Amino acid sequence: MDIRIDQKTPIPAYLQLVQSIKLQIMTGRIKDGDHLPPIRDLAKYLRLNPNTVARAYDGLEAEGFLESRVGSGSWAKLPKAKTDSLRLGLLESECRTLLEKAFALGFHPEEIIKTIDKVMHHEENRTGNR
Amino acid sequence: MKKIVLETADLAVAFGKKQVLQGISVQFPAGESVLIAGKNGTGKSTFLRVLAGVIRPDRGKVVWADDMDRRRIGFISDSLSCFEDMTVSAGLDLHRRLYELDGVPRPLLDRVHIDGKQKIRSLSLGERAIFHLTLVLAQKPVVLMIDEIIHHMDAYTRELLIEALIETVDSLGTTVLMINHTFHDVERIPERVLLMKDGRFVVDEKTESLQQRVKKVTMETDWSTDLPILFQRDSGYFHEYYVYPFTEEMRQNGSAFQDLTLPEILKAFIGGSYEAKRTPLGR
Amino acid sequence: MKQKERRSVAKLTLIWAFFLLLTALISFVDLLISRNLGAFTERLLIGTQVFILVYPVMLGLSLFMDEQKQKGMEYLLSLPVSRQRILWAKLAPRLAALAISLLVYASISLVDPGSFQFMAPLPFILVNLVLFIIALSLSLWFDRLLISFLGFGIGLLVYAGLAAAAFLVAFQYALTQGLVIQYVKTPRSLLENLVSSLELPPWVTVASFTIMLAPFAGAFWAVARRLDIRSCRMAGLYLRRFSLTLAVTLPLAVILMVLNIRPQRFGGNFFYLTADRQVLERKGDRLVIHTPESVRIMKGLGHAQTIPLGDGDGWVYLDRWSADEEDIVRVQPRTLKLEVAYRFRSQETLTQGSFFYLDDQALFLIEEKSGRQSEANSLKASVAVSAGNRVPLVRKIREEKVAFQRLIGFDEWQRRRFWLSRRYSDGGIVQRIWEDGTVEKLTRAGGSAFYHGGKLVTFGDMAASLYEWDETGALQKRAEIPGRFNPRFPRRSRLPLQKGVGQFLIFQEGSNPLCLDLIQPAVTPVSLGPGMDRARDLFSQALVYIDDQSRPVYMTVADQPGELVFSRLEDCTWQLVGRIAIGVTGWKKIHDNFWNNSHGVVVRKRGRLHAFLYPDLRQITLK
Repeated sequence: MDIRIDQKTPIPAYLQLVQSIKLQIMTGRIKDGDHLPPIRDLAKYLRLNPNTVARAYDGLEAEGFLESRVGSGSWAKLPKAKTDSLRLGLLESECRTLLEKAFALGFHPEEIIKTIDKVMHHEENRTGNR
Repeated sequence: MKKIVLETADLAVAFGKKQVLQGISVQFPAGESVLIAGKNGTGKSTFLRVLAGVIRPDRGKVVWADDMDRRRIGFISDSLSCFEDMTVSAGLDLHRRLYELDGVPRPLLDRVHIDGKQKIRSLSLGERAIFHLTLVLAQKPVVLMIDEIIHHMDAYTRELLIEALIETVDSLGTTVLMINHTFHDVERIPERVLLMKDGRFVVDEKTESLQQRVKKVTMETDWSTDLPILFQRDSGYFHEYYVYPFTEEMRQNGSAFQDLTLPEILKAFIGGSYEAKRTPLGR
Repeated sequence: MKQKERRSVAKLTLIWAFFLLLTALISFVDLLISRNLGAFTERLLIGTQVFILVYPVMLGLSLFMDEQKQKGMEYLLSLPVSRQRILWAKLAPRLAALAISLLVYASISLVDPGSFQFMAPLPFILVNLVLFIIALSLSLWFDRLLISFLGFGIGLLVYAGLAAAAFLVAFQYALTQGLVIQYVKTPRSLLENLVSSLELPPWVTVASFTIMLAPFAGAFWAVARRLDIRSCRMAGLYLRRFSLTLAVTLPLAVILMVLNIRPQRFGGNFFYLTADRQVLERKGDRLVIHTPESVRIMKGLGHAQTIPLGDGDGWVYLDRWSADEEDIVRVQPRTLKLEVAYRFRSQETLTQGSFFYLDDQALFLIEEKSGRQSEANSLKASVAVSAGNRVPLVRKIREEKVAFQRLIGFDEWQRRRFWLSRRYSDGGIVQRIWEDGTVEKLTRAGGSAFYHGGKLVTFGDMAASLYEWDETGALQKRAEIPGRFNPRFPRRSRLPLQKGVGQFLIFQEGSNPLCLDLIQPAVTPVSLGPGMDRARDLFSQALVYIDDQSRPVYMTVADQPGELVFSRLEDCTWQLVGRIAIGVTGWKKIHDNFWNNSHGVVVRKRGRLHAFLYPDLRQITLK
């Protein structure tokens, strides 16, 4: 699992975790039905308090991305009904983050759009027009 | 609302004329991980020692939950005190008998290659830390109090410590109180931060909220503002201003407020010699 | 836990036993070399004794030594074990070891009481406990056995020094206040007598007791503080505060005592007025000489019953150092020299009725020893010649079993000394005993016999007879005065009233004073003179001084309450000389505050001394 918790942002660690796992599930990096690591192991790996991980798992479960069974652990789920709106929601929040940073750097909207286009073209070229 | 497993009521300790702890009242719910930070000499170790029962307070009480079993209170002091002349095995055995444990699991010791026949005196500080950790974890502690031992440990042993801590918290729901001011690797584990100054806790907040309420502004010139500046650091080129308590409205001010990691936040508090005001802090 | 402690105690015991054996070994080697069995056992015993006392110290000091050395204190304190249990787990094996060692000592001393007696069991146990507790109080400061021993040794020396100093000060104080009147010479008898006879003010006792408590308080406090035992800490704190307060105030009190800021209290019980108008006072072991101008103090006298003896320029008194020894010491007030004129050996004691005569050459001591009725009394006369040298030359003149009733006089005739005595068994014979022991019967006397100024007066049933010695040394009857005289010694009189003055012999019959004129033999009642009416009734209680040297005789009587009346005898009449108010009533108090001799009267009034000189009772106030 490719998760990185950014210490610097004010976004709480558990939230970051939730978002990250959600993203991975939605992008298919984590497949529906995959076994998610136990809280302890993930906590060890991320150097997080297990409570934090537990909170994240609870949050994921509440949103339908996780299913846990006592004794067996936790499984990833892809809640079909929610996917699209969630995907959109995620994209919007990422955009917001990007825009915040861009504004903080003092860029104007036109410059931002121009840059996005540029980068998108780069990515398309690189990944072969996905 | 979680169960309060430990609380203090107006705890005060004085050594001679010096008042080391000044009437501390604080509660610790079960399963919480707490970081106790502060400058040297502000009374953190004393506080922990009072909780562990090593020092009796002059005033106030330490109140444990009703069903608390003393044998399940784990304490590692920063002096890592133990009986030097004993062998490791003897020390484990002594601990086992004194705390009436079934056994002392040794995997940690094996991982740092500590042999049972070694004398405790011959252990390095890092090894000793692992030794004490072994002792204390064998108690299956409900509350674990660890004084500043991290700086004795190299990266590997530190990792062991963190893993062991995480495991304990996960499997036992241990309440962990750690004194730490070096912030190596463990800064993500605590959920709550207590900053001690002059025998009192001047900051008592969740780490999450703390990160939201402390921001930094970097300027090339002097910055006169009426925002609450916690701490100011001037190097040759930059002036860094740490703002606390920060609210989102302040962004309208226009300045670029940078987010901080927990260690940076704590350094700002300590460097700024933050004084708690009488009124609760914006809660 | 206990096991751990037992182990450490066992280790200590082994170390100690090792040293003990080492001492024994050394002694044994010494034995082999010197082949002197006595020295061996002696040294072995000495070594054993020393090490027996080392053991409790080791046990006490080691209480927290492991923790100190091994930094295990915090671990210990964070254990889920109560403080009391921790302390008990440490103390129990040590106390047990101590008890065992004491038992061993006790059993050895029982087996062979003679050779092993070093200390009686009870004090030994106490000493052990005290050492143990003191060592406990030090156990928290040291982490090495050797250094802690040094510390302990120093601490003990300081403690002993302080205690000894306090004791000496207290004793000195008691001496100066005349509280100690026992006969002390050796430190041991000093201690015994001090304990039994001392009347120290309560605060001194309490203070010294508290000072001795200080190490115990220290032990309490130190252990409690380290272990943070609440109740112990409180108790120790209060104890410490209390003893701290006293430790601060006691030196002040000591300084006060040393400086004698308290008003002068004449603790002495004897005063003597000299011809030079000095008053000599015995005070403890000092002789204090008061004059109107100054006070001089002379040290070096003993502490004793003082009995005024002779007269002359010096003042002689009896100095008793112990139950066995008595000295007669002459003091020269002007030169302040002390001479031991005579030293009694054991078995010699001064009895009532012994005579002394002192002149420049010699002290004559005549002792009576009354035997039982069937036995004869014995007379012993000794001459101590002390011509200025301190060591007396004692030459016994005679020890004779002479049957006599009592000595009635002593005289010199032609530089030969003789004593007169009277024997009842022969119907009242007066006999003369010469210096060389020859006994000579003189005459028969009916009732009493008196001797004065070369004249002998005997009182018979029908008359009083007056005898004189003529030039040849023979006794001649000179006169006879008819009458029935029955002089008796009145009770409670300080001096017998039958004494002569000049040509008069005053004696008392019943409560009537009578005056016998020896020149023109006649007996007349003594008229008391104006203002002396009450004196008749009080005559038996009067203090009469009658001078042998043809000087006037004075009588003093407590007339009004608190007042003394002085009278002088002239021609068988008492002439009132004066009155002094001395402010005390009651005969005993008067006795305690009033002394007289041939030169005058010394009165102690409200702590000050006043002297009234004969003949006119001129008053001088003394420093």
